Amino acid sequence: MPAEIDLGNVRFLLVDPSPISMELTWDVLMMMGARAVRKCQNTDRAIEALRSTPCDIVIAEWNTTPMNGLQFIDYIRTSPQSPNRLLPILLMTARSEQEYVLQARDRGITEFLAKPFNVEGFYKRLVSIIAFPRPFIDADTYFGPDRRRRADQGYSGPERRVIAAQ
Amino acid sequence: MSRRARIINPPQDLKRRALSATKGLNLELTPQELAKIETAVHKSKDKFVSQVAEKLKALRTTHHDVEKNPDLVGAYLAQLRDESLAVKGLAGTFGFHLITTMATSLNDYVLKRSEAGAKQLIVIRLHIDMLYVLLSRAQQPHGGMRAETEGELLASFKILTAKYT
Repeated sequence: MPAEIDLGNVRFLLVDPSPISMELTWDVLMMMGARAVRKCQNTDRAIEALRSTPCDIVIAEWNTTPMNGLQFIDYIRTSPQSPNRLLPILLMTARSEQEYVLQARDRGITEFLAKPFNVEGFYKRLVSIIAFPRPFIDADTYFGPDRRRRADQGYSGPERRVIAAQ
Repeated sequence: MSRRARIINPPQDLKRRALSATKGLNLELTPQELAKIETAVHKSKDKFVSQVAEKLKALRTTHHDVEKNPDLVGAYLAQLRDESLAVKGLAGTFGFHLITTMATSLNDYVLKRSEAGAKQLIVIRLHIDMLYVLLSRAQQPHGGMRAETEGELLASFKILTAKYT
């Protein structure tokens, strides 16, 4: 497997109401070699951008308007108008308590990054999204990346999704 | 009856386009790559300090107005929730960990609050003043404080916020 990531070939969409936070993320991505990074300060603009131009990774803040981060995830994952329900989403937030992480996970985020973040942690999330994409689960109550990150080799009962994969 | 979950293989297009044998960053960043990327963070540091100073100045003005007109307290608390969350989320990235801790204390204090009386407003004011002090010393390690002072300061705010809930 090639051992390098060229972010110059990845199209990003940043959604963040804070100009300084958005600028910081943009600067870091540019320094990592990204070239196609669109910025939106609210979710209405972000939805317009998603509909008009293809995007590979959404990096969104939780504290957005008029939709909050969770509602924005819902739009991407479940709305009939969503341009791509499989779009990878990295949610960044200063709300790092476990209840928020679980809420975000159960709405279908791909990766979660607690703020304040460091460059290494941010990059690791991007590597995970790009190099190690997870299968999606389409169930009655959930649509999103498989929440089970570790395969339990010893499990032999029914309904284990890794066994039921088609 | 609930249907069986369907598993969808992830799209491989992004992986194919972005992974390269010759161009880009290592999957594990080298110290040199990391140092280079971190220059982007250092570049934004001064901008962060000046923007937070502006925000704190605005909060002080609003605080003064709220003390004179308690009807404004609801909007003020909403403003505090947003601003403290933003500072909490950014300061640590620039290495200002004490500012993040103080902004966290303020955010926790106002998070589920819909009213604030005179005593609660004093607690809020002390947080804003302390953030100002820490910001003015932001370039010094530990906000220019000895570790013991830092610990005592944080303990004092913990007692203060617990006492005037």
